[in-house]
Amino acid sequence: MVRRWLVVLVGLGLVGSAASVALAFSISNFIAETAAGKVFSVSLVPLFLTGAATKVAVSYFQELYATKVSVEVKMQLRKELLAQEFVRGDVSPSELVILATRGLDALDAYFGKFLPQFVYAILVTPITVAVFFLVDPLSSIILVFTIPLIPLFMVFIGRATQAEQERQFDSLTRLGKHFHEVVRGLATLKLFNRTDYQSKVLGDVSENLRARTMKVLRISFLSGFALELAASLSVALLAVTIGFRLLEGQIAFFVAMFLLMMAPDAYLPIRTIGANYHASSEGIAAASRILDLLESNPSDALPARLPAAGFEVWIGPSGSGKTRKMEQLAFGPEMEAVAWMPQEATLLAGSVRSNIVGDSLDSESLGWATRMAALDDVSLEIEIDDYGRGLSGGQAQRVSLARALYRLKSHSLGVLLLDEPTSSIDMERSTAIWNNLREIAGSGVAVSVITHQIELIQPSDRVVNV
Amino acid sequence: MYKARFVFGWFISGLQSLSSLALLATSSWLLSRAAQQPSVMYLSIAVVGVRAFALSKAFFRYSERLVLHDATFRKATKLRVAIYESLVKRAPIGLRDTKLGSLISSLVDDVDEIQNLDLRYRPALIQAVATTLATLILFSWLTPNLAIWMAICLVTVFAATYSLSVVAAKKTTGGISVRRNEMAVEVQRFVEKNRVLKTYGWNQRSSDRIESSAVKLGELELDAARFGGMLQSVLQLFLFGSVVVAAFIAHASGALLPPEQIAVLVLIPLALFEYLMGLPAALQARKKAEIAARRVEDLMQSEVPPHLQVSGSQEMARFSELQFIGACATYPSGREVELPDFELRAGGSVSIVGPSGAGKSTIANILVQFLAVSNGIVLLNGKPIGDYEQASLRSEVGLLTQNAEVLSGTIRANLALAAPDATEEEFKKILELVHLWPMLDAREGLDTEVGSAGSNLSGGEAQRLSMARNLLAEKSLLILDEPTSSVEPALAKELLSNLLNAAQESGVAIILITHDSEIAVLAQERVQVTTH
Repeated sequence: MVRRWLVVLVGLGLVGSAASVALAFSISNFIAETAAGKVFSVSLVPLFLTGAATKVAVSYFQELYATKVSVEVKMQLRKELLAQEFVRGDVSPSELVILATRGLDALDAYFGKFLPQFVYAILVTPITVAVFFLVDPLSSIILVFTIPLIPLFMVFIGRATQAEQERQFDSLTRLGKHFHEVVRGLATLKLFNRTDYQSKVLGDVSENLRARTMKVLRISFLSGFALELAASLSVALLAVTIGFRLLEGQIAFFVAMFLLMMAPDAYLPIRTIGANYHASSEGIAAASRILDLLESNPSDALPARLPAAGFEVWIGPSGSGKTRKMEQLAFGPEMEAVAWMPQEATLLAGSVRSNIVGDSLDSESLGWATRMAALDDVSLEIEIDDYGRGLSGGQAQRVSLARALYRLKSHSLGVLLLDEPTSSIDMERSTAIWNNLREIAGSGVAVSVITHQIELIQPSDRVVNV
Repeated sequence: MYKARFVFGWFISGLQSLSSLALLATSSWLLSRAAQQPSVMYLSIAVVGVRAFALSKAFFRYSERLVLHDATFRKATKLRVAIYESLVKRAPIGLRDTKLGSLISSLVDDVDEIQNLDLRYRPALIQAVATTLATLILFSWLTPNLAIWMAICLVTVFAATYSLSVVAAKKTTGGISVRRNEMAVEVQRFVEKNRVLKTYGWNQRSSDRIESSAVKLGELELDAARFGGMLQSVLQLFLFGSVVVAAFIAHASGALLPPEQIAVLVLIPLALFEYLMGLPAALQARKKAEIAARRVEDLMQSEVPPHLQVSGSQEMARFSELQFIGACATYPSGREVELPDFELRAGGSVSIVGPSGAGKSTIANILVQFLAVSNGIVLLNGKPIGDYEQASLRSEVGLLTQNAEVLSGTIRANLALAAPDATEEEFKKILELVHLWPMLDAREGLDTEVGSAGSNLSGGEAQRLSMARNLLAEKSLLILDEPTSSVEPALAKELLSNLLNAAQESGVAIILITHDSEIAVLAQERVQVTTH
């Protein structure tokens, strides 16, 4: 896809620069002939029209095709990224979300602007120099000496600003984080009467960011200034030199006009590479991060042994790895044989019923699961949103439990893994639920429960200290 | 203050584009005049002009960008603070609304997007207008005939560009931003709930949904590209058309026109074109900025629900007594909660026990003036609670919630929030009281980083830190809302009885909200609530 795009770009670049030459040639000839009081040659008209039509077509096609490539590449990368194993240590969920959305969207600038500009610059700059050489060797020498100034400036100034720029990006993200943080902690700030103080802090942080950004911009705009200056002074140098040569009759007027019109093509494309590179750097960074992730997909599914039938309670202080161990079982090779309830209720937007049964509906299993999960106070029709709003914490937990039980029953599975199933549920219901779980274990299912509620454990339960 | 800077910046923008136009005009004049081989002195002014305009073009560009960025950042600071202040009025209850929640997550990006209005749209428009006017003035001075034709051409191209941009924005820009948000929500759901989706075999449905919104988004993006291509074509057609018109008129009036002006007439549209080309992108930047600005305005201008506006003018003294008499509260969502009758005196403690969802937390919300009493009476020190001034009330009444809000930064910073002037020793004493000091001592003491949103602390540690903060602030009435939901039960009871003892010693009254009867017995009195 990308390779084909490069080929297309090279083709478009060649056609585009040929059209530029044709346009410059026809217009300069026209000016020269008219100024000399002659009737201009009719052959210039089709040359001009062809050049103009080609320019229009090339830019329309390039815009459309760039978007097509970008859309396809984004879809492909997104699909592969989301097909990844999510239980991995080297990337956080929030980073994945940003990569798959904003990060990829930043690729538009890469495919639509940077790449075409880059290819065009590489093609058109030598072509222009060659045309100059053919038409007027002396001017081509000026080009050869002045054009390299532009990348030279870019590298010099780029080096000087890089460190400062990174620091500035840092403080920009810090501002974003600070804002989120402050908004998240608003209740606390209000409770301690610190909202006015935070308002001042926010103003200060933002003002600091401005001061620091301006420091960076002063230097990096200076690079823009140097480039602009190099380009426009070079054109001025060219124009003045040609002017004096015209004065002495060393060069034809139409050649002079032709060179004047072609000169921007020698400087402009290289100059815009820098700006477009900057605009697309976010997309490039995102894409290379995604490619890294796709290459290094770790499959560390440790073969863990499923628990034996019966009721088992896992205890241990916070941080002893109970949850991790259970997740290794739940996502191990025998994933299909396990019904698992996560520590966070993690409900989906939709009705309570659809949260429990998904697409299938087995009324018998549903009735059993809601009974076993003590879901007596929640209507199955209640609509909840993505954050579980619509239910209290305890209700959400019981819906999550019912979901695991439904899967156990409707798929006739043999292993039930529950991560703190009753931590937000009142004592009366918790006791009932635990008794139900013991009953399920009695029917030959392996039930493992992580808990901190040691008061719910009975002497007959199998206790595992993790 | 930033307004004057903007005006100055835009003025330089205009000058920059005029320099560019002048550079092309003088250099083409220079060549045409030189071709007639006059004496050098006729050319020297043009030579100086060419050099001067080349310099000023670059110089103006540099100063324009500096001045405009500086002004924009100043404006953004004001906007950020204004947004923050409007959020403060609603927090925390008014921010629970789903629609507002998604607004807040995009606020940071929106502020950046709005900046493009001053930074990209306005300068581009000013430059297009300045170069257009300059071209017309120059042409009407050289050949009035051509000026009329150019004016017609330009009006047509402005109208075409503008209406195409408006149609494009209507058909694509808005839709793209909506679709992108939609997809971001779907991707977020897919990633954050991936384990559950996967366990239950539901991930296919979610990834299908992502795929289909990606396809729709792709179609819209292609539509946008078609419009973009069309806009560029229109502008290019204008360029070539105006070259033809200029050539035609120059040719027709050839005998009347000095030869050196012909090149100027034919080439000026090239310089003008450079600035007109920037218009479509500028119009699109405007559209995006407007969408962002509307979101921010929606937030800032929507009225704060009346039930969230609680504050009187009275100063509150140390807590002495509290009475709930037939009180009710109404949430902005319309949900009404009836509250139990109970009393509490200085140094006393009461537990509010009941199942989740019975509205226990509403009692807390009322007591810290997050929510108004809509019916009945709540008397604090003998006066209706609404009579007290917020800051004064909150310096006496503290609340410790289920999800303790720990702010990023150090332990010290979190404690200083409650008592900016407290000494090192006072901090340590409090941390020992809540059983947090041994853990911190093993790390970096008061300078231990709590991580982003307290991620370096366990749930129990966060609760204890939050408790320490409330004790430091020396509040005289403390509400504990499910304080031990994430602390190991064995420690929970010990921790709570510690705290209750400490409170009793310093005369702090306690309201303990819990679903756990085991914990409720720690309070002297007990109020049972039920679901209605």
